Amino acid sequence: MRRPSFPAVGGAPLLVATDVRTWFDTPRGTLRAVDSVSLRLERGRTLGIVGESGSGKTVLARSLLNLVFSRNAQQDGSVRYRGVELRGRSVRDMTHVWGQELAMVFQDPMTSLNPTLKIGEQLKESLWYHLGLRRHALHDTSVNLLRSVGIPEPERRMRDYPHALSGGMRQRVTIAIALACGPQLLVADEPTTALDVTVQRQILDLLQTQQRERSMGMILVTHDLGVVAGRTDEIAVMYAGHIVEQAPTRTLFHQRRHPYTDGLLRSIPRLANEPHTELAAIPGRPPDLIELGPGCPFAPRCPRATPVCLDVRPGLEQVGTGHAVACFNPVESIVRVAS
Amino acid sequence: MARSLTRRVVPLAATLIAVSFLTFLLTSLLPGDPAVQILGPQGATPEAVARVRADLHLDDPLLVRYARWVGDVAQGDLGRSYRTGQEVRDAIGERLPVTLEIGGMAIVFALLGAIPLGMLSAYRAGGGVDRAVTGTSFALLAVPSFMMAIVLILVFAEQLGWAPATGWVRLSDDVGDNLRGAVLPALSISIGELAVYTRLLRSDTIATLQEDYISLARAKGMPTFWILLRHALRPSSFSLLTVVGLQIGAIMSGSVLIETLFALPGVGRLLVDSIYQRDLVMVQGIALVVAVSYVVVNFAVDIVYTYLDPRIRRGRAAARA
Amino acid sequence: MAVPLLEPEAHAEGGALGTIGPGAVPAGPRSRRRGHGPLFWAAVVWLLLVAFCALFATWLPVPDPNAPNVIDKLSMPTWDHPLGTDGLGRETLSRLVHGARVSLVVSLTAVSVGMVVGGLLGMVAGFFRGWFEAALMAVINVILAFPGLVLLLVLLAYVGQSLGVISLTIGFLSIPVYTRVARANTLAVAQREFVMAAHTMGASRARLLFREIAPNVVLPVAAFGLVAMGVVIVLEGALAFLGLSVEAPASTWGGMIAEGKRHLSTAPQVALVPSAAMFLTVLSLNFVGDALRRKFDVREANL
Repeated sequence: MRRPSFPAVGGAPLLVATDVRTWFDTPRGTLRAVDSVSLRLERGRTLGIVGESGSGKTVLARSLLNLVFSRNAQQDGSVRYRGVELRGRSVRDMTHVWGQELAMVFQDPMTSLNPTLKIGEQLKESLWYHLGLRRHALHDTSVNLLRSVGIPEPERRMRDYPHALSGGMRQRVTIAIALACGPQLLVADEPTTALDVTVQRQILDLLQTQQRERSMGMILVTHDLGVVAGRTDEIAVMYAGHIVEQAPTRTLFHQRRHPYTDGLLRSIPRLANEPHTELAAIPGRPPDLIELGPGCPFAPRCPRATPVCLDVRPGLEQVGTGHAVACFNPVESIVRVAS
Repeated sequence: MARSLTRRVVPLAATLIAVSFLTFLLTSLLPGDPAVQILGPQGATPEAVARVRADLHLDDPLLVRYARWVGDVAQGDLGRSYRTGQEVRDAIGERLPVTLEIGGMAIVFALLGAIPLGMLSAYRAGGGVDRAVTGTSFALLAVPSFMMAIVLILVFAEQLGWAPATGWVRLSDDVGDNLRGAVLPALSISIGELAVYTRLLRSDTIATLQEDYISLARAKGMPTFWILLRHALRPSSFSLLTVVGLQIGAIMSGSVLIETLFALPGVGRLLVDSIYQRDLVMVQGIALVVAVSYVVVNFAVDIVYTYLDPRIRRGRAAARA
Repeated sequence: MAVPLLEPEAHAEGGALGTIGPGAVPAGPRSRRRGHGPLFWAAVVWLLLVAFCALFATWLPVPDPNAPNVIDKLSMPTWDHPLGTDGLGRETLSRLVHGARVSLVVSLTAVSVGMVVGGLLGMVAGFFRGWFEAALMAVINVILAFPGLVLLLVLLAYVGQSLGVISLTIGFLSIPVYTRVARANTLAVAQREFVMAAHTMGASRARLLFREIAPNVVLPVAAFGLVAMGVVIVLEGALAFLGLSVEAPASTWGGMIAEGKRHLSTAPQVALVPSAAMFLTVLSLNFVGDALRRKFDVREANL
């Protein structure tokens, strides 16, 4: 097994993404799903990536893990995991990194488990392949993993097929599978979107607990601000393939500067409001990722847009500690929004 | 459990009855008197003919004859050949292994080739390997088995002398010779099958590879061949399984051509010869065997479906509940 | 005998993330809009050539296909005999040209019978459902389970070995396939919104069937039929091998191949030339049928 060797875990950042670009060639033109995204994640910290559907956040999640395989994809930029460059590595090399160092939890637990294989088989295979466990050790470790993610009667569940489990259970299984080989970085792409509201919280709690216990770095990708509210250290807001604002969580909620972030926060309905208060939605629709203009992608919908916004793309600029905004006319950070 | 079994068995039995009755009906249309065939031109005096006809109950009405035949079959008696007097059961029993061996080898060869080729071209769809495989499969679809047989005979039997063009050696007599005699016939069939299976598998695999659980297997760090064989193969095999089932069912009746070409003592040739020689009892017997095999194979295919996709099992259970 | 099955075309474009491997077909601007390549037109030309020969065989300046010429038998291609001669000295090219007639007649008849009868039955079954559909499918099952060879042989023995009998019997035996295809397509189309819309507007059932559903079912069935023609041509060849096709001395491609087998060691071209002709014809039919089917598939996808 040719594993790229990783330097000992020290104080170095876990993941450094620089200028990541993922574009797709389509009959209609070039689809810029991820355009010049730079991120950084430290060990033991959680980063939330927030964006609506079509913002490119799923493609970003996959790009960070080197899981984009389309022939039509042009990929650029650097992704360094524990100092080692992942971009350009062969699939062969990457099979030793995926699972053991990097892990991903997908959105829909109905489709992310193979319906023709038993739960136990799907759980065991990575343990078998990566960690070389056999027989009793293999079985016991698997059962314990299921137990640790909160699945009752784990022994029985091992012999079940995915369709016998509820959605929440299935997601727990995918989390167990992701964590099986002790990865250092976990990316969860909309882990709760396909689940009942009552179950969502349990799953998020589970993820948080596991992350703390294992001191992993975690990236939570979601469209739901509620998901990231109490559970992330830092948030990056994504719009049309770009990061438009990045800040520590509290700062984002209390001192957001980008008009899009502002719009998102304002659009959350509040119980304290009068009945029949109009929902403060952001006017317009997300742009077509193929026909983006030269300027700021949010400009067409932005209440604070100025002529220059349509022609020149703003870059990320520091506006506070750990707080960056890509905007020529950011919101003044006076209004406090109770989160 | 009992209820679902009867539900499956009844239409099967009905099909068998329909098929065998139709065969009876059809063969009774055949011109020519079986008695005359049996006695030969010299021995076919009116008295002899009448006697033979009485012996074989050939003058009874159709339904009576059919009922008698069904009764016999239920006791395991398929009758005696009009031509040779040999038990139909035995005659078929001698020749069935030949047909099955060739047909079985053909399918195995085809699958052994189709699985790697199909999966590989699906994995790298659009690439060089895929284009070569797809193009070749397409061309091979236009080559019928008898044409392939001729080409193979020309190259391997005539020019290279590696295998015989005709003749058959029983497995029990000499394994080596038997296999050598079986290779060309089996290949003639299997190359065409290979093309069909490869296309089917490729098609379904491409669809399967889009699924999320394949991405998850990737994200787990499982190696490519593992993902293809363990995760992708099973869900992609449905169309393939259906077609293989049909092919197995067709082995019996479709083997005539190959058996004629290579002069093999198989069931197919027996069928054709029997029809020509008005050996109606034999025809009945073979038709029954063919229908039974079709039915049995269908049944087996259904069972394999549930093995491939456990959700079907559950669906059935739910329907029963 | 292998039946080339039409499985749904695998559009390997994938979502934005493609397949797990280096995989998806490049979905560049070219693939959607691609016209028919040179291979397609070559196939069309060949098919037209075959049709031409079939139609005008008797008027073409080739020697009598049945005239034996023992002196020149088994000859390789020469200026006099562009494709050589067979075991009895009959000219191969001429026999090929006349044989085209048989192949075409048999395949066209069989496929037409199958398509029209099977197509109608399938459409009616898929549209009206109920007892008719159940009964029809049961009958279809029996036909499929039945060894068709027996039926063929019996009918041939009963009526004689004529082109008509062969064509019609094959046609009859192929009805189940068309019925299934037509029924499947009808079931799918009947769910479509434009049909339901017409229904709510008060269209009578007959009108629905003929104006809305039929046009959409006819196309896939017809594309399938083109490929099926190739299958029938092969089938005729197989029958000729068994001595069951049109009686000698009439020339059929299958018969020529069967005869040629006898001379395989000394004059392989006698078998190979008609084989090549049959191969090219079936290949062209497959190609054209496939290309047309894909064209209709695209339209389906856009609906």
